[in-house]
Amino acid sequence: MKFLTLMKKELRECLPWMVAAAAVLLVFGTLELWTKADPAAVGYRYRSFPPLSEVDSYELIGYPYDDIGPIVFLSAMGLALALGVRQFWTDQYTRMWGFLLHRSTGRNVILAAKISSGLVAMTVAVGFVWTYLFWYAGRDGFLPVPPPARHLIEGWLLVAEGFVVYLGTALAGLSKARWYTTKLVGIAFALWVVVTIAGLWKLAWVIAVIAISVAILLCWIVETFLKREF
Amino acid sequence: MSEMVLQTEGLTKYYGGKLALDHFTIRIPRGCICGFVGRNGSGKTTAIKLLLGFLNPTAGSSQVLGCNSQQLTPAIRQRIGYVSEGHRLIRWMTIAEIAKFQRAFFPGQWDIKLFWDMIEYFDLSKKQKIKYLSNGQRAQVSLALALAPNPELLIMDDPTLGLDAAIRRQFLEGMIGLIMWQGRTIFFSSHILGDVERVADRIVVLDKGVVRADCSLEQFRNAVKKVRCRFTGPILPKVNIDGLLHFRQSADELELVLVGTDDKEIADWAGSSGVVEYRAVNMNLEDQFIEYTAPAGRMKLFQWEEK
Repeated sequence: MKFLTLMKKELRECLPWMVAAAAVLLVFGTLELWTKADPAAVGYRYRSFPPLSEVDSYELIGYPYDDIGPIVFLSAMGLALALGVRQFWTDQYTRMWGFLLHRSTGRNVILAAKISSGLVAMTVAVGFVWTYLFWYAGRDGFLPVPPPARHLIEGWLLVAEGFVVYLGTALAGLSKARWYTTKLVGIAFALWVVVTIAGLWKLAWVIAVIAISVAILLCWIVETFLKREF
Repeated sequence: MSEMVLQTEGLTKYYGGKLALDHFTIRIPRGCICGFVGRNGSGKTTAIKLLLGFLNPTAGSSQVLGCNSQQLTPAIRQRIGYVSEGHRLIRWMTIAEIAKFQRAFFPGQWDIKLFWDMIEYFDLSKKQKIKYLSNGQRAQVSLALALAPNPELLIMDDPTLGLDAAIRRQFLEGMIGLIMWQGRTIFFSSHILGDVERVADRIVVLDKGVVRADCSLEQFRNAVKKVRCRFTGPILPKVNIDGLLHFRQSADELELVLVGTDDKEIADWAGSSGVVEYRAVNMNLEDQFIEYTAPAGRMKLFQWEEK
């Protein structure tokens, strides 16, 4: 009950950012898909190949993921930063911690509610919208060739990368160090994870790196939050 | 001996190399309204944050309702009402929404009627958003939120800061209403001495991180005295009187600030020092506080014990 009350409050505070990220992804993603489905665009691509060359069907129409992926990535990163700042930096600067912490529940529950709502916000605003776009692109007759299922997972991994950045931003928000010393270590670590993932080819490796970095950041945040002075 | 709801022992806090609280030791018995006074930056907020476990002490310990401040359990927190400095509340909520939010943390002890009675008494409406409320109105909502769970102990950090006289009075009346219920204890910091004088029955004086007094208000009021003496002749009388905090002199007048000196001692000293006439100057609590914490007397410490 207490956890759900806290989570509802956190989600309500995340709502404007969720709506903004979902709207950006939905609008630009849909535009990309319509462009891709336009017969003129397919004809243009067709004319760019040499006569009688063997062309992979995806090369002909282009992967929807190639075009929508960067929008998913940017939406996830933008939302992650916004949520991290809203939930952990704003409460510090508006001196809300006293009000939030003095209640009949442990600090761990308060932190769990914040992080769970961050995860839900990322999942709903970016993950679900990406899934919808993927379903939209895969409808019969919309594209000459439907997108492969693997791309759905790749899109979700971008959302997971966003969650890593969210945790990094949260950690930076909880740090009491000055910004030019170690305050931004959390964000730097998250960005390093994102850059590392960009160089990986195997899906399993990407999943492993994300899982390990989430575990590291979660332990770090819990340790910081439970011992922190407010 | 009455039960202590707040108890600290040598509580010390450093922020980096800066000493904010120095061996802070107080004992607050159940059922009193204790005014916690000190100038700006004297360490009041630090002390309250340490009591509530928001800060870790550099040294010393504190207990609230018998539980170590650093290990306050949810069950103990449920028995403590807290009004934070500046009345920080969730801005986007309406009064009804914030009441619902708070209520979830006090199952079985939230007094709905009391909360709405207070909101009505303060002339507020449940649909009003927190962000559109004035400072004073936010203070009123904070008080109603803190009182609705019927806390055994109410800790307030400068609750009347920034409020006009009328709102302050309304706020204090609300507080007095709380103490009418037997066994409740209020510990509130303030630098508006008039408020403390009006409602408190106990006082803790903090000066530059050091506790200068922890006693009943009456004891403090009786103890700090200012005596103005007139004397003749060019030679000043020698001021060797017990409890002297500091003195000021003009051409033919001497003004003594004394702590814990009884009237007989003053009369004896006056008689033996060539004083022609002397009279006690009437002081309100604010005057007493200012004299008591004046830099000249800061190094002199007095023992205050409940008799």
